[in-house]
Amino acid sequence: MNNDDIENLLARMPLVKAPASLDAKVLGRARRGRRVIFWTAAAAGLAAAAAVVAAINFSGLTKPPTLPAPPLESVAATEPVRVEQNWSQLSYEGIVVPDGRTPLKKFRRQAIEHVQWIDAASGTKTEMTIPREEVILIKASVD
Amino acid sequence: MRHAIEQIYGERRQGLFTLALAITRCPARAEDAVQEAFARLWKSPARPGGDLVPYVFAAVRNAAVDQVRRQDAAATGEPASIYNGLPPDPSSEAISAEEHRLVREAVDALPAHEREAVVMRIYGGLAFEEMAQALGEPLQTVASRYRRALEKLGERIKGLAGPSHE
Repeated sequence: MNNDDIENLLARMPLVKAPASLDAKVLGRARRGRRVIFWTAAAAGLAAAAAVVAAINFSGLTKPPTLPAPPLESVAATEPVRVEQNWSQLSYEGIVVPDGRTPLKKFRRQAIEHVQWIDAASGTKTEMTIPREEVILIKASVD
Repeated sequence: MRHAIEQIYGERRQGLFTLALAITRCPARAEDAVQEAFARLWKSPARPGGDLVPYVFAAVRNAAVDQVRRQDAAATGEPASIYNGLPPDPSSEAISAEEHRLVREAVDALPAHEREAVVMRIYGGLAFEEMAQALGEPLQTVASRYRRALEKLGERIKGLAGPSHE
């Protein structure tokens, strides 16, 4: 058994799957981080706008121009949380010899990717399901 | 950078989790390690100049090592394998129950740093150069370690080299 054989064998071993809950934990944190940045930016923007208004007031103008306030819905908006789940299975379909000379082991991997975007602000949920199928050919060693 | 790291997570989540599991030998701690690593990455202002993939793997590895350090020795149970403990479906020809048992035992018996190298290469899909960056070690050292691990695995599972696997 050479190194290629060992690598092929290792690649076919069924791994303990990463739990689906991990996606929400990892990506949820990223989204929350983005929201913190968003709110910080929004607060900074409002503070800057207030400073401009104050500066104009202090410049002696009798009636300062009205600065457009940021639309309320843009401040309240939050990004939807993305939850992704994946399923896959690998099946062996035997030896094939496509070119008539080199024997190849044929595997078929079928996978389903399911993604949900959950928008807590509006209570909406968007889902997407992507089925995939791939054929993997691995050179079969001949002893 | 966030988008790039999210993309790496999406593409390599299984490899990252398997690396954490190979180090912690506990699925719950592995999950905590991956979560902790990404929490650090979201906060970190560091922007490595080169490839982000080794940077992310290094973060998960460091978090997993931290988990092991914090582990209460008295509370440890049987170390978990990175492989599914259930015997393969008898109808599946992808791998036999005997192959599964032998490989599982052989990989579990590897020294931790060699098991890490195998996981990074096979399940993380890292090139030797990326492994060297993630581990902070010379490329030649990492490549030698990986080859040594394969040799040990080959010794332990050489009984499988029969014609039924061709």
